[in-house]
Amino acid sequence: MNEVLAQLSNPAVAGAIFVGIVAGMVAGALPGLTATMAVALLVPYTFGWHSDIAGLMILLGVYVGTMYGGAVPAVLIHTPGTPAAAATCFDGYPLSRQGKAGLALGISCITSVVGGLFSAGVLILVGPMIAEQALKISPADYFAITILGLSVIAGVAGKSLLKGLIMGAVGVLAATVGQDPAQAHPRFTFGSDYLLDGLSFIPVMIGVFAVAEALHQVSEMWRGSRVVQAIGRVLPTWQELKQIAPATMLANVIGTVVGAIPGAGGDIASFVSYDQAKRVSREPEKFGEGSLEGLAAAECANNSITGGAMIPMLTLGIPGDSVTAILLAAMYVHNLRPGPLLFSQHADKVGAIFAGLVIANLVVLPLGLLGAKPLARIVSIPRHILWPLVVVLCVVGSYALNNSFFDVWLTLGAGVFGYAMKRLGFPPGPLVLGLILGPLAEEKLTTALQISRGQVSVLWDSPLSIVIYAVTALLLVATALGRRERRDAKQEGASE
Amino acid sequence: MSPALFPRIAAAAVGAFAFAYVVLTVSSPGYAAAAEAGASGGRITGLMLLFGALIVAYALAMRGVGFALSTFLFLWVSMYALHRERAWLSALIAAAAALAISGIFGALLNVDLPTLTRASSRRVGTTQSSR
Repeated sequence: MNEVLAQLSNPAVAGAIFVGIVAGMVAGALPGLTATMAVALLVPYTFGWHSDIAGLMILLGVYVGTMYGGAVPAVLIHTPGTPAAAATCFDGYPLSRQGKAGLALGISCITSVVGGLFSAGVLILVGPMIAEQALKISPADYFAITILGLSVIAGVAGKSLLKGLIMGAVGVLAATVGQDPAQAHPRFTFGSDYLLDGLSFIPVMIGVFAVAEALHQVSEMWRGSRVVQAIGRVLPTWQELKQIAPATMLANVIGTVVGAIPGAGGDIASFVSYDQAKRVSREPEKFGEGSLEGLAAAECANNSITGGAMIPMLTLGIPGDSVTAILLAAMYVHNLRPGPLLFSQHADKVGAIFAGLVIANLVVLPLGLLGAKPLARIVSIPRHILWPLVVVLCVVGSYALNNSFFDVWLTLGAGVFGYAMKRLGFPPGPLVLGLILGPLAEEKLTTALQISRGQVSVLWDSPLSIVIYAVTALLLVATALGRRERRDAKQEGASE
Repeated sequence: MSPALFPRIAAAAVGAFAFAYVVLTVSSPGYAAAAEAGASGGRITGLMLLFGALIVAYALAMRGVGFALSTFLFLWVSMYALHRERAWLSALIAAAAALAISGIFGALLNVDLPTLTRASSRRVGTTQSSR
């Protein structure tokens, strides 16, 4: 406990949380800059830091800040800053048109903080228990868990599941470039020394998310600019807070549970929560026309996934969504291997992450309420200034990894590939998941087969493996049903 | 376990999913339409191609003239090319941004950015060694 407090009292760590939240709120407020992209852009800059915890804190801050920041353009210009804020548009924008943009931003901020704190509390209570049980897992069981992790692809696949699966498999295939884990035999290196260590996932990640989005945004510049509404009162009254309390509590639970399910991200959580809040509301007819309950349900749910998504990431090394996939990669870079051993070998750092998540959510409250008006101005930064700057950050970020121009070219190549795939509707998230989880799956498969002397049946011999495969199948079905519910809610929201 | 086993499994998965996608797209127009709905669309405009070319030129120039100067030139030219108004304002923003980014990443975050002097000394070294 004392070590955790000592780490958090370090000005560099406290400053990192603050800077991360501000950066996240700004990134979330800019349409096109998602939480995934913002965290991916920032990861390389944290490498050279003396404190691993400060590096992770800034990323956590960005994650939490972006989730709130995404509501700003959703409320003001009917454009979600992040996919998780899509349901916020349904009632946020009508409120804005009624001259209540400030109130909508205030409620978004308060419910985001409540959701974030609730899920952080659940993470702190449940995380260590799961990690303790996970220590008994064999390599074959762990291989089953990586397959469960790869099922996240179903959740981040976008409109077409098959396209997501193709991209995931391409990511796993790309992860085999370099030396194989058992015999260090070079694969797909074409004699290049640069490729011996494999394709580094950070430049690929920056390319497919950020460079591809920059190219896309420039191709859309002919559409013209946006108009921002007036802001008005930010703080809600006591009566309004009481009105949104039931929807907020419901969204807390839904968001945390959905967040903990690998593959189900903030967008699914907010749509499911919005739909359920409407079902239990006394005024369902107001949903879609500026309902404070609808806004609270959507915003609280998309922030309460932050703690939920970190439960499988920290305890099993499986990302809950695409942002935690990148946080997972960042932890590897900082020599922290997420999984059950993390809790025993780096208890102080796990404690600091828990505390950092709570602090980050608490800091969002004053920053979000005071920053509502400046954030509204950020929404209107001209795109001809924004996207060249994003490209510069991508180039510096990829160069900073190893001071190597090879990584810069890898980023730009991945950007062009990502843009082409975006045009064709192939999502980038599964590619990155495949790149991250592919080597882990291969390593566990190799170890399991070496222990069993080549007996493939070892992969499904233990009851735990069978349970994990069954859970994977169930999650795939549940994700498919969730996708349908989200589509229905979206259609309903649009029609109202 | 052969080093080729895992890549083969991954390649087989890519092939199987791609085959399923092609079969579904060809056999069901409804599926094809739903899958196409995920595509971003957008236009491959001359502006976008110019922006892409500027990014490539930027990455090439960084090695030759250093980070600060190449960043300034890239930002100035691309901002002006994307908006075509008030070149002096674009130059001002580009200069401020290039200085700020160089300062933050070079001095504050200890990123060893390429510099003009290092690039020139490398060129001199190359010339001398070739002699």
